[in-house]
Formats: sequence, C-alpha cells, structure tokens
Amino acid sequence: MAMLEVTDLRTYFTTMEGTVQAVDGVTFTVEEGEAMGLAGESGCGKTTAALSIMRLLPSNGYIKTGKIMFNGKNIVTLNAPKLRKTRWKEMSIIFQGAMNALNPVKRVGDQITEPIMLHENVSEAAAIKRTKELFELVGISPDRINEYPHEFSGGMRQRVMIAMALACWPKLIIADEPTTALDVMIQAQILRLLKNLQKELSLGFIMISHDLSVLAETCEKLCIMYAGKIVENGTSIHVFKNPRHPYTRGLVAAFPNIKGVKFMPEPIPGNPPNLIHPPKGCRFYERCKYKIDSCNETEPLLFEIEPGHFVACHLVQKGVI
Amino acid sequence: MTADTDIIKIENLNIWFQMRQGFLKDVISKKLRYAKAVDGISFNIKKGEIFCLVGESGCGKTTTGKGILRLVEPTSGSIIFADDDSDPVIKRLLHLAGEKSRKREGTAIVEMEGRRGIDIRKLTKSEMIYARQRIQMIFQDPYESLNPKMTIFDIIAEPLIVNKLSKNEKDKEARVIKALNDAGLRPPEFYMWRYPHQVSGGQRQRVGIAGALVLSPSLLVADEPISMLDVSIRGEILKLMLDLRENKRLSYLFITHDLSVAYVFSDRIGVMYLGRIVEMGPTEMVIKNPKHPYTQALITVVPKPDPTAKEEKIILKGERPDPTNIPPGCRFHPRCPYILTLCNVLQPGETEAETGHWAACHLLTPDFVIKWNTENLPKYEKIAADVEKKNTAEIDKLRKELAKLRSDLATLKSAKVKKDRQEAIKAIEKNIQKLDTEMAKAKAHVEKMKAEIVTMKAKLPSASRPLSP
Repeated sequence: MAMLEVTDLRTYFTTMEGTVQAVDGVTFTVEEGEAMGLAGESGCGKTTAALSIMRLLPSNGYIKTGKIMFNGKNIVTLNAPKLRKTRWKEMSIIFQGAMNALNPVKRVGDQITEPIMLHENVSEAAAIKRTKELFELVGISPDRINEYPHEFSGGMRQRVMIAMALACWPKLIIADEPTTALDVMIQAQILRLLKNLQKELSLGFIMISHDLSVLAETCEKLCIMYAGKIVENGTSIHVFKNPRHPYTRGLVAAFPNIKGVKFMPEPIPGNPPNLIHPPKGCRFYERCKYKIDSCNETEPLLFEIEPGHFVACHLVQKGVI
Repeated sequence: MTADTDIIKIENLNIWFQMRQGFLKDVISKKLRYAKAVDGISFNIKKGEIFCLVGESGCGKTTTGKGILRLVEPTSGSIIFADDDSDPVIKRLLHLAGEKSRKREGTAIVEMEGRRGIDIRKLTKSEMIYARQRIQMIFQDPYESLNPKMTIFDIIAEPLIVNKLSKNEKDKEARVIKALNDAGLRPPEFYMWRYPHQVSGGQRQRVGIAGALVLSPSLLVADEPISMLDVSIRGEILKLMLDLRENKRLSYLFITHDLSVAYVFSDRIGVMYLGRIVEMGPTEMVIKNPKHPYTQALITVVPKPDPTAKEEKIILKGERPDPTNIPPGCRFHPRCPYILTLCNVLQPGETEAETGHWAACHLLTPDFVIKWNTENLPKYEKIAADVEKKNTAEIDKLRKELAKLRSDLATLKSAKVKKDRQEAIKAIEKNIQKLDTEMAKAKAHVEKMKAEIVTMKAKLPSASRPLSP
C-alpha cells in the first residue's frame, strides 16, 4: 500500500463572492522513498492541496469531501490531538518564504528543539544535540544554532527550514516552492541537498513548484494541475518526453532549454477560469487550441494512456490528438 | 542611422554607495567605506539590439540599469547616448547639451563614431527630462509598480502630463490608445478605464510597457520584466517585446537572472559578477562555448526541462559575495574551482576568445600566466625559504623547551603543578604544529606555481590573444 493516498480531495474556500473550488477532485499516491512533483500555474490549487494534506488550511478553507490516507490513518477525519502527533512527527512541510516562515525573535536552534521536545519527550540537552546533528546534515555549522534568523542569508535560512522539517525524522516531506526566492546557484545547492536527503533517508517527498524544469531534475513522478484538477499524471519522463494533455504540451513548450536549440517559448493565451463558477466541461476549454464543442459539455476524467501515464482530455481519449 | 551604430555606449561606469558606519565614525574616519555595486563596466548597445545583463542577485545588474536613467547617480564613468538626430526631441536635447550651463563643465556633447552623442551624466535635471523621453524603463513587479488608485488611462497618460507633451485632452487620449494598442491591450477602450487590480498579471505588465511606450522611446531598460509572471504568459511578453523591436526599432537593455531566458531572447549577453562584466559576447557563443569559470558554472546549474539530462553540475560553494568587501585580484577567485596563484593578486584583463566574445580570466592567457609565474617564482621561493629558516629556528627553540618541561614532569610531585606543566606542553606542541603547517604551506605555494607553469605550457598553443594582460 502506498504511504500517502489522496482520493478525490475537494478543498473549498468560503469568500465574499462565493465558494472557491480551489482543489476539486484530486487523486494521487506517494510511495515510500518516492519524489512526486506537483506543478501548475499560480492559483491552480497546488499549495492548497499540500495544506489540505497537512490540515493547515486557513480558517475560511475546508475539505468538502475526499480521503487522505496516510500510513493507514485518514487525515481528514483525525481529531486535533491525534493530528498534532502526526504533524511534524510523521510528515512535515517546508514553506516557500524562509524569510517569513521563521520566527524572527527566536534563536533558530530553539525553533528546532521545540518540536523535538514536544514530540519525543526527550531532555533539552538531547534535543540540542539532535539539532546540531541536523545542522550538520543540511550543511550549516552547528555553532550557529544560537543565532537569529536575520543573521542567516536566504539560502542558509532555507537550510534551517529543511533542518526543521527533518527534526523528528518524518516519513513524508512536502516542499512548497522551496527554491523560488533563491538565486540559481543557491537553488542548485538546495535542490542537491534535498535530493540527497530524500535518497539517504528514503523519504516520501512532494515538491510543489511552478517551475517544471526544477521538478524535472528532482522528481520521478509528476502531476500537472490546472484550475483545481489534475490534468496529467505520470513519470517525469512521460510528462516531458510524451506530454499528451494540451495544457501540459503548452507548459513544456513554455520552458526554454539552455542546452537545446534556441527557440522562443510558446505562450498559452488566455487566463485560468474563475473557480467560483468553474466551467461545466473541461476547465482548459477556453485556452485550448484543439477544443471542439463537446469539450465544454462533460468533464474529462483521467484515463490511462500507457502504463502509469494518465491524462484527462476528451480529445486524447478519442485519439484525435 | 545605419543598423550597426551604437545607440548607447557605457564606459567605465562606477556606481558606489557610501556605507554608513555610525555617526561618529562617519565624521571622524578619513577612510570612507563604499559598497561598489557597479565597479567599472563598459558595454554598448546597437540600434535595434537586445543586450542582456545576467548575474546573481546583488551583482549590480539592476543598479546599472537604473544608473543609465540616472535613477541612481553614477559615481564616475560615461554614458553616451546617440540617437537619430533628426528626431525633434534629440535635436532639442543636442541643442541644450551643447550650451554652457552653470551646472556642468563644458558641454555634454561627445563625438562618437562621427556622430554627436550626449553624455547622460553631464545633463542637468531639466535636460534629463528630454533624455528620459527616449530612454524608458520597464519594472519587474507589475503588482507593485502600478498605482492601484489610478485607472490604466491615468497611469499611461501621466508621462505625457509630466513632460507636457499633450496638446489637448483629445491628443492625450489618442496617444494613450496608441500605446495600449502597441502593447497588445486590445481593444484599448476595454482596458483604459479599468484599475490595475481588474486585469491579470500579464496584462499589468503590458500596462507597464504601454506606460513606457507612450513617450515613444528608442531604448528600453527592462528590469526582469517576466520574472514575476506565470510561465504560460512569459512567452507573450517576450513576443511583444520582439514585435516592438521589429516595428519601432527599439533597443533593449534586458536585465535578468535567468540564463535560459537570456539565451532565447537576447542578441548579446554580458555576464556580471560582483559589479563587473566577466564575460561578454554574442548569445550563442557565450551559452554554447562559455569561457569564464563563473559562466560555465552558471550554465550547468540552470534547471533543464529534461528529466533524462545527466550532466555534472558545477555547484559553487558559498553565498553571494559582498560588494562592500571585494576580494583582491580576480574578484571571483574565492569561489573559482580553477584558482591559480596569480588570481589572488592580479585582476585579469579582457581576453578575446572568439570574434566579439571575450572573458576576463587568467586561464585564457596561459602565456601570461607562465610569464608571471616564472617572474614571481623567485619571490615566492624566497618567502618560502625565509619562513623555513625562521620557523626551524623557532621550532628548535620550542623543542628544547619541551624537553626541559618533560624532564621536569618526571621529578615533580604536586598534582597541580604537574597539570600546569602538561598544559604548557600541549600548548607548545600545538605551536610547533602551527609553524610546521605554515612552512608546508609556503612550500606548497611554490610547488603549485611550478605545477601551474607545466599545466599552462600544455595549453599554450591556443588561439587566444591577450588584449590587455
């Protein structure tokens, strides 16, 4: 059985204008020691999906339906004390802006020892010892545990965040745009660190990013999300070498490859649909260049086009494209 | 104007910021500290060309862009702008710049390839207004650079009001509509009366571009214009900028940290590191055949949208360098994987590797490295010999002391005194070790220089030609 099984997850937000269907029927699995990438444009629901798995949704968000089975427990129905024991101990998250995710008035070491002491009932000395080990693991000098976040550079802060996520040796780590605010060189350092840690500790790993090329280098499996739904799902080789959904094709073509031939990235005209009143049929209908009228009538479902490669598109299913 | 003429030429531009060190220190200390954001860069942009500055954040690329528009005041150097002189704005500017002014010495006119250019740095504030009509900027963040309380019409019309360019309301509207059309916001009437929050991110950036276009500039400084946009619309903005170049013969200074965007979009690239351009040349040459170790590393770490690509990444150690404390010699040497002895001491000159493609790296001039190493070898050998002489004498002295302490130890009874002696012995042993490593280091230095001569000799029959060693 897979370590994490998300089935038909629907996460909605109540807003002044109406209910935003941010995640609308998302299904995926993550095995132990597997790295999965969740890609899509801003506003497609990838961060909301991650926050649903952690049950960290803002107060106006709620999980409408769906099951999140993690190590045999359904996260959706877990009560608060049990949830508290699962979070950080069994799964943890690395947030996007390390600048804002760390408490500026607490020493970084204290911020890491705190969860260790809370979760594992160990003495402070033992927790500090582990914090030092963690620092060494992520490539920061252990002498720096008594410094404040502002004394660290952006890349180093992100390393602190990674150390914090590893604090209780969880089995699943979700990384939400871990390198977006960083320079290319620092990004490469952090990605290599994450990849090595994931392999060494055989972690389940969900990496969320809008940058497909970052995911191409770190993940074995990819889910492409569009307007709250997964439109294509497969190994990264499937997605990059044989993209089938028109949106995935557009997205792959939008990334220039510095090693390839020089060509202008192809834009996808238009904007994502309003998720308060999502279209009845295919959500990509408006922007699709292959669309036919019937696409707007029924919602396409994921189907297996080759072993392990799923696409949600009427036209692909009919063999038109 | 022919195709090959320069529209702007920047020579030896420096932009330094004075560091505050506390009130008293500022007053007392004679030595001021500077953050050298831009430290002597030169480049030119041809009419209709896209020149791209790439580099990590903090390397000074944005400061360069702002310096050209004098949004930050350059410390020294020259920025010569030479546009088509049949243009009335340029005509007026040339006339004003040729006149004497209390605010500058001489005129601001500079002869450039037989044409009259204007030194932007010498223009007075009122003359800058004219220059800024022809040099405009597009900012990075379309979510923050547009005033949320103004309609799109007001935002785009504002430059016309500031520059007193519209004769009447009708003329103003016509110009705004034209700019919106040019920026691809069609139909203009649909967007004109909206507020920025009512349009999407890509459209906002188009508004930013329309705001620059309304003055019909000839040079656009585009500071990371697509980095805040979603991937699927980046291509649109790049296409728009290319179309504008075709239709209006615009030239661009394109500033980005993303090498892959620079690769597909620009004609020429300058790679910046810590306030200096370390490599420059036609895009294809720089990306496919990088010469500077920094460029080489930067290219390998750019994420590639290809899961099967198996390429060794050159990941440089350390964080981004500090412009207040620029290392001596080659400023890249602390992070360079191929560092030579002379890199610590001497700043490399620009070496042409192919036509129009140069890099500032000692590795490209093996003959010069050999010459320098051979010349300086005696000096380093003498240092090594001196260190050896001095340290051996010291070590002998310490060894004697050590022997005395050890013999003492055997006769002593008191535990406390014994402990003291043991500690003293440890300290001396440590000292000896330190002196030993110092000696080994000096020797290794000499050996390394000799080895460098050998490796450089192997490289010698290269086509590279030193321009200014």
